[in-house]
Amino acid sequence: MDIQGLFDLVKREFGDGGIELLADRPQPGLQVAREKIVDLSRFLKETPELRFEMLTSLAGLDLPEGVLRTSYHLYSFKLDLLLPLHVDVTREDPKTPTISGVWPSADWYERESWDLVGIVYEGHPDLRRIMLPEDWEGHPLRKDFVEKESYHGIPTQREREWLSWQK
Amino acid sequence: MAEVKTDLMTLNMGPVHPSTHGVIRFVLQTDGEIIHRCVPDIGYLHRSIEKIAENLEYYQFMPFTDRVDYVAAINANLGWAVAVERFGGIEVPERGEWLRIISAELVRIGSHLVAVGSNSGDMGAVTPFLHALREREVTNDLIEELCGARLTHNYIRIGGVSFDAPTGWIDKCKRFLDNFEPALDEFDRLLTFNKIFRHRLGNVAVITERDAKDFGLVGPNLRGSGVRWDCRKDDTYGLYPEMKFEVPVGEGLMGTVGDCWDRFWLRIQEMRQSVHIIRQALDRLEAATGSVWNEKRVIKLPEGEYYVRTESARGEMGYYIVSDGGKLPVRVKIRTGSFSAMSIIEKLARGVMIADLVAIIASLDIVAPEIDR
Repeated sequence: MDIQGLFDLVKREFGDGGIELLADRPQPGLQVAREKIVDLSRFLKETPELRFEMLTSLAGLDLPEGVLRTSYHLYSFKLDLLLPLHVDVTREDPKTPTISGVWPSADWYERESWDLVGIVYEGHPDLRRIMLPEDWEGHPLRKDFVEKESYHGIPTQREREWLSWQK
Repeated sequence: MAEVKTDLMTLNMGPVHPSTHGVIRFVLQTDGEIIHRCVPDIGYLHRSIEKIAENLEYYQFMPFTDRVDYVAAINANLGWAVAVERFGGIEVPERGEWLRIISAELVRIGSHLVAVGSNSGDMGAVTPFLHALREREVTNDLIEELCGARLTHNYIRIGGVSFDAPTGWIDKCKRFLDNFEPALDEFDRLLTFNKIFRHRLGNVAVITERDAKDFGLVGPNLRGSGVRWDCRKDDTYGLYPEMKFEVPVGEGLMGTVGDCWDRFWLRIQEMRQSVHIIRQALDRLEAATGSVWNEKRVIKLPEGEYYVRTESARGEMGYYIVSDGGKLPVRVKIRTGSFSAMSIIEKLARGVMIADLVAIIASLDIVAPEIDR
């Protein structure tokens, strides 16, 4: 089954609206509205002819024009197919439902995406920072992130005086 | 008899602990020697390599991929190179492809030797660890002759490799392989089939096939649970389709499929397969002529996004590149095997002995920089 056949199957289940096929990309995928992502995930994982058993990767992206995107990559051993799903939210309302109930691996991936990009996964059992300290401010993988000058008295900028001997 | 206090005790393990394989911390709630709950705490080695990637051109990012996984640096290099090449349609000369396969498999052997060696060390058998490191020393020497570095190699380039093999290197490599196979048999006699060791690891921390897929385990950890899936065969790259090798899976020889011993034994078998691959690739390298690097200074990828995975020593290493058509990537996401292996520990460690947690960490072959990036 190729991605077009899969999209037809999805369309029969979910009807029009909310799910689009991105056929002209280097790797074709599906653009999904956030309301449908949990049902779609469960459908893709549990339908016997699809069996997307593995959530291979989950990445949070900060794109131009205030779009925050979550890119999921699902893999089906049965079809030998890698399927990208994209869910877009805005910076003003960066909320999307969690899929950690479908794939347990999403638990940590979503924590990482929240920590570094600042996308809120609603309904996540334990959404707290994973890479950075608990009291860190801001989300470093956002394009407009500016590092503070110091963290608990530790300077984050390198002092430039030591370079002065070169002059 | 006085009443015994039976509250749960909170115990801190790490971040600097000899058996946690790097800077990882676990917070344990224990009931005597039994773990009631284990919460892994990561991030001590977070260097935000993904943010660094956004400020560098594609070829400039190569040395940073070494630091993603410093135990198998060439495999991390290779993942980045394959991702950019496949996205941008860049060709690699044949000689470069063979050198890539040989160096990647040599490093895989070295990495697996660290994994099985430190596994034995964690279980209290220190001598086999030294046997394993003795062999790894030779793979390090061979790689050093290729590229000058022993740990962070920075050998693979986008479009090839940086240096050709020096004179006499192929013979040296063959000599190593001839000596390595008997050394591996010796290692098996010494440790793998040792009765104490079998009983120590057999039936401990069984990961079922369903759990392995649910938690996104990859590489030897996934195959240890009986799933015959290897990127080199099933989502192949480079000239791996021309190589003949087998993909071993866990069979539950000493207990249940997916226990710690299965994962240990799988790595030993994979080293034997790597030896087969290197032998074939060395023969093909001798026959191939031409350059090793199709050098391109300015690389611009088309607009869009691309996810490419390769088989590193710790399983699938995926690079997700988002590009807007410029010289710099918009976003690079690195998916590593240790991160998902770490996330399953909380589930595995429930109800096991504290000493078995050490066995779990060692058998999953966790490397701390790969988790934190």
